[in-house]
Amino acid sequence: MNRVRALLLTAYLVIVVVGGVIYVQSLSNMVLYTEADQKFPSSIYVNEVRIPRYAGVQDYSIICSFRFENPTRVPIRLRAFSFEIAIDNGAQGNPYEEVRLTSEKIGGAAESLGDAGPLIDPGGKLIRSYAMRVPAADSSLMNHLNANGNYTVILYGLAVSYGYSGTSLLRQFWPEAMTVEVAPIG
Amino acid sequence: MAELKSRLGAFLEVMMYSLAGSVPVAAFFILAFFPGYVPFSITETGTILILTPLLVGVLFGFMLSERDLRSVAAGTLVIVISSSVLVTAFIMSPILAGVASAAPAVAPGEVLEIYIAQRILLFIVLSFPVLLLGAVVGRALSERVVPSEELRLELEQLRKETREWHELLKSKGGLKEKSETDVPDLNVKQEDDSAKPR
Repeated sequence: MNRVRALLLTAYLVIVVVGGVIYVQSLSNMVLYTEADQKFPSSIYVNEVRIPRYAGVQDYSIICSFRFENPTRVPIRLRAFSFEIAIDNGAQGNPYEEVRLTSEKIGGAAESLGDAGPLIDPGGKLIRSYAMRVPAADSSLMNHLNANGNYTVILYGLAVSYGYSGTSLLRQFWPEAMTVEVAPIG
Repeated sequence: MAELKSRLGAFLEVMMYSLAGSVPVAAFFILAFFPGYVPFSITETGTILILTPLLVGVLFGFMLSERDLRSVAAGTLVIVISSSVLVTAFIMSPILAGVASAAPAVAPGEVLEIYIAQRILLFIVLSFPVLLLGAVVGRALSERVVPSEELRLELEQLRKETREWHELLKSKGGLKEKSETDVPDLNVKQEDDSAKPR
């Protein structure tokens, strides 16, 4: 085999190996990302909701935290998250009805993190806390305790954007509204 | 038996190079059309789609310098078919791996078979002509750059025979005599022609 032929054979093999690496990596990502897309949307939970009152402060505070668990085999980057919060007024009918929720809304939060978003390792979890203030002028919205003497907090309008480390893929999903019973503090 | 063995060897060689060549062609098609699943991103998708089959084709043609042009064309067809299988396997991999009931690349209202058929058709239309062109060019260039063993031996034999003839003619002084006798003959003929009445 002459030198030119050996050189061309090497070039051919290099292209084949590079192509093989790209193909295997893409195939693996396709399977792992699809699996993650199936599992991750059902792994978001309300970690805690607190409504503390501080002496001498008329405004209400609401502290709400979410727990993002990663049951998949790939690291997931949280890119954006938003939600709205309402306190159920105990009226008859569907508590998740849109007009009703709008009238009960006490606040919300939205954050766009992009590529700087936190990375959730496989099997790991991430807790994000959000604090809101309900001005004293809107205190009528807070005067709805249920039969147990607690607030029925509804977290709705949830939207989650996430991606995978090192790729341009962007996924989005909208979890169902969640209801939490919260005891008033203070 | 020996001929059968040589034919089988040639067939295996073409198949081996074809199957190997199908891997980068499929990989770079995936890189261009499904960039989200590739570990790095490339903006020049058009260049990738044209250059990869061309480069693979040229190198493939070079590799098959000892085979005839029909084998090169058949090998190109094998590359396209096996690349199509690899692209289909990529699209269907989540279903094949059992992690999803539908391929994520396919939109909810779309039929999987139609989606795959469209992509494969696009792949064939884009890659086959370029691949074939590259292979033919590569094969043609290989005759100059890396001639086949058979052609090289033939040329060597021809050169050897020519050298022997020259030596033989020189030793007998034939070359000199021939050149001296040829020229006057031509002149005479020319003179004769011009002397003829028109």
